[in-house]
Amino acid sequence: MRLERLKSAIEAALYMCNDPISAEELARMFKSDVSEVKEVLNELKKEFEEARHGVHLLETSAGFQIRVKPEFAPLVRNLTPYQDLGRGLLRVLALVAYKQPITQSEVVKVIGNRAYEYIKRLEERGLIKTVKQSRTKALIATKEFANYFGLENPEDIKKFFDEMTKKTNE
Amino acid sequence: MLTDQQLINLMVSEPSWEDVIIKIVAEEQIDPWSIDIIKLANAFLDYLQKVEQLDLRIPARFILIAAILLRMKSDILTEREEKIFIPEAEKEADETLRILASLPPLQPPLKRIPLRNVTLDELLSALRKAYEVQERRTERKLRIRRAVEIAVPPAEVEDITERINKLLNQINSALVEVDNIEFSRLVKRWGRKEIVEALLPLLHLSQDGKINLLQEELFKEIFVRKKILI
Repeated sequence: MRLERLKSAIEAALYMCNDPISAEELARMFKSDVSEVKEVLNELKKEFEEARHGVHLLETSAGFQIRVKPEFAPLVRNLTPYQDLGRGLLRVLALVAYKQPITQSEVVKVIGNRAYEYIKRLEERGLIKTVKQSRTKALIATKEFANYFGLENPEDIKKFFDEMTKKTNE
Repeated sequence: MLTDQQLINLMVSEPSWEDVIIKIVAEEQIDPWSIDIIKLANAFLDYLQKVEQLDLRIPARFILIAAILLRMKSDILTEREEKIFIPEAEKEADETLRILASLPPLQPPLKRIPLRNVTLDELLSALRKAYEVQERRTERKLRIRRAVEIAVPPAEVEDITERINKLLNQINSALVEVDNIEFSRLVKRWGRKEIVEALLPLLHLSQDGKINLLQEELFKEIFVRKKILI
């Protein structure tokens, strides 16, 4: 496939796919070289970063995904009721982000046994990760988490939560 | 054409229902219309009665395959019904229909189900909800514990170890002259509470290897025997 046409095809695939898709998968789909696909993806990423676009191309550990830029998300969110994170996933993510670092067992105490499955899926999506904490392992939010919510750092979430809680209590 | 028995063997031996359908339709070239599902179901029931050990995936697979075959038959039926009879008077329309039939079918445009990012407010709501649910779960557990304490007042609760030892002594005395004793004879009064009070320590004794239990039919009498040491 010619490079220009490949670029258009990849853009169409990214548009259609709700979940992140890897360069390898795209290469298989369009019978191209992975290196060519990565070149195209980098080009698309640069193009979408321009201010005139309302979406950008995010690279996560799970693959590439077209997403609405965080600054526009509040403006367009009512156009669809469907969130890309389910209720259970969201609760675990919120808990890890607020309480980080937090052990898996502490998460399970709050959420229940389904937390194991949710933690695994959030790790696959790259939104949380496991780090060593003295003799045990703890969960923390990642840079991808910060990018997802348009934050500078994953730790900024605690400040946001505390401020919002204070505002609600006033 | 495969016989009913051969079809059933296929359903049992193939690794998945998809492999069975592929074998029936693509490899053996059997027309789903020619498979009598009622006869097949009867043959399967016969098979179930003869089989000694049953993997529950097999009947589940049979039900799914039968449903798929039925669906294939109904699709054939509706295709036949859709062949419209055009009366003589409508021969002009006949030509139009022929032209329309030769056109490739219209493909609906690809539609994407848009998913949006979760917002920070939603994340905060999720955190609050997680704690609310945890609180409700803790309260529910406390309520249940209180209800159990009311139903079984603490004063009446004795150590399970004591009950196990008491039951073992009772069984040993009873088995001095006989080889086995019925569980019903170990229960003081045949009421729900008394049955549970006797059954729990009995199961512990069996688990610990101190006695043998035998029940020939489900929900029927349980026979208690001394453990035979080899």
